[in-house]
Amino acid sequence: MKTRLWDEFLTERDKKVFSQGGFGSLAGMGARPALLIIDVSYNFCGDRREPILDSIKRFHNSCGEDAWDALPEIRKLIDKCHQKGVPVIYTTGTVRSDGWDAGGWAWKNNRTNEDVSESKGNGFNRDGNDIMDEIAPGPQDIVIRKLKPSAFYGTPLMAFLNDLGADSLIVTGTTTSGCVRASVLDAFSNNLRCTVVEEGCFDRSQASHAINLCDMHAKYADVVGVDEALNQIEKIDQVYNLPSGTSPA
Amino acid sequence: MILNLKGPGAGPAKIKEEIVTQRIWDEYLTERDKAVFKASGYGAKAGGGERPALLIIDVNYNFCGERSEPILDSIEKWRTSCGEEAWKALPEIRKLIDKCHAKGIPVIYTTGTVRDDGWDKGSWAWKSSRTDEDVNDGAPNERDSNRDGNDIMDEIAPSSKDLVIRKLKPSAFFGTPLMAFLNDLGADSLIVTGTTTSGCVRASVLDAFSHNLRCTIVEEACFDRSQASHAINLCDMHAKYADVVPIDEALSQIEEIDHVYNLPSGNSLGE
Repeated sequence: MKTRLWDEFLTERDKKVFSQGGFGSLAGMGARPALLIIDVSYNFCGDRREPILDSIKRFHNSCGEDAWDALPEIRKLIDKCHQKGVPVIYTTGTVRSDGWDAGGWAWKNNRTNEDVSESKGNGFNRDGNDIMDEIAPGPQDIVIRKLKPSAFYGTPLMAFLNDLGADSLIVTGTTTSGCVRASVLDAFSNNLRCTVVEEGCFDRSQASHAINLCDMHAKYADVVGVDEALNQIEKIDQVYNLPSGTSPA
Repeated sequence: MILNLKGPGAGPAKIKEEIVTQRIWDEYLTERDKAVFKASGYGAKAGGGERPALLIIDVNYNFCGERSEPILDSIEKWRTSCGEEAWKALPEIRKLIDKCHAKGIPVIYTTGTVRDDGWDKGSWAWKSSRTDEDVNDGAPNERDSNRDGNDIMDEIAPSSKDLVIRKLKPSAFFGTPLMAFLNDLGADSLIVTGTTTSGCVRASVLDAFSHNLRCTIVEEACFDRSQASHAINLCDMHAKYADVVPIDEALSQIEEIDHVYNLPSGNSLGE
């Protein structure tokens, strides 16, 4: 049987239970997917490639080098979707400068006050919620600002998918155990098929990354390699109601 | 980092200084993970809310089976069973229910629902090869009885003032009146128990977090079919969304609550 990233974190009993319980069937991709790129911003990548324990000194949410490994994989998926006319949707965070809307985030983390500061020192003076330059949105892409883990919670995402005529998602981004998992869960609850691209996702915790991929593959989504995802996208031949990307003026 | 309390040669003061409470998820984390969680500021104590409600998620025959037996035997009959861990959690959940009843704190159960023809399973059928067994006519013959798998366990059966919410999807909030009921009860937070830790518990805690409701998860009162998923999902939730506490701490917190909630009367209007 094919070895998966999460196998080394499971007990022997777990492997039998997943197999005998009937979990982990392949759901397959929908006929009209959209690409979703979750929170691939400076807050989660840092402003340069460096080991995670160094990176989180200035960016408390950084996932370190694993983020920078994922960027070129995400870029490949974006380019392929642009070429095929498949919708590309980004999410990123937002926060008031007084931090009021941090809400529950501030309860479980004692560094959230750093999220409202524009300067993180050492020459970084951008908004941490800026999407990484390496994968910056193009004019026909859609950017959704969100306050909570799920891309669906308190956002127009479901309405946009309806308008695009999209029936499924190809999911990438970060963190695997946080906003990726939350968004995949809500997609599942909305009866949307999800394909999670393993190399296009990253997390600050190695165990959380592996086990959350395992949980999602068991119950909510297909976790596939980037080559398989690219092959699937290549076969799509659909016209979507994309934004024109040009100003009416 | 983890010390034997009775280790030879270590003075009590030094032990106290160096103790880092061992958690169920520690053995599943890499050494780097432990350093990252600590440095990134996650896992702070949120504290419970002022007016919690007790939430008991999906503790029914589908997830427990009809008797305590090893999980690999139990899932032959009940594909989503969590085996013996479920039966270990039942008396712990019972303690929390009794304490909440004694204090007048709302007790809310969830359980699943499915049409006889299975149409409303939706996405559940995509990832499991055994969902046909969830409708009554598809149940394996080896079961002891023909009870509905979505029946809440007799050991913790709801009483007249408790609330029962039927749901189709993992989260207790998705497509249900839970948030509206909490508003009506005047509840501002949840004490969470049930199953599976990595499924419906996690999904409900996530939605509670997104609604800015504080969550206290009772470790011994949650269970899962996967040992690794149980541990790591508790870890993730404790890091980001909720306080994961032992039952004695939860019972002590509930004991201190002194509020009047707008509870159902539990009496039929016709009586």
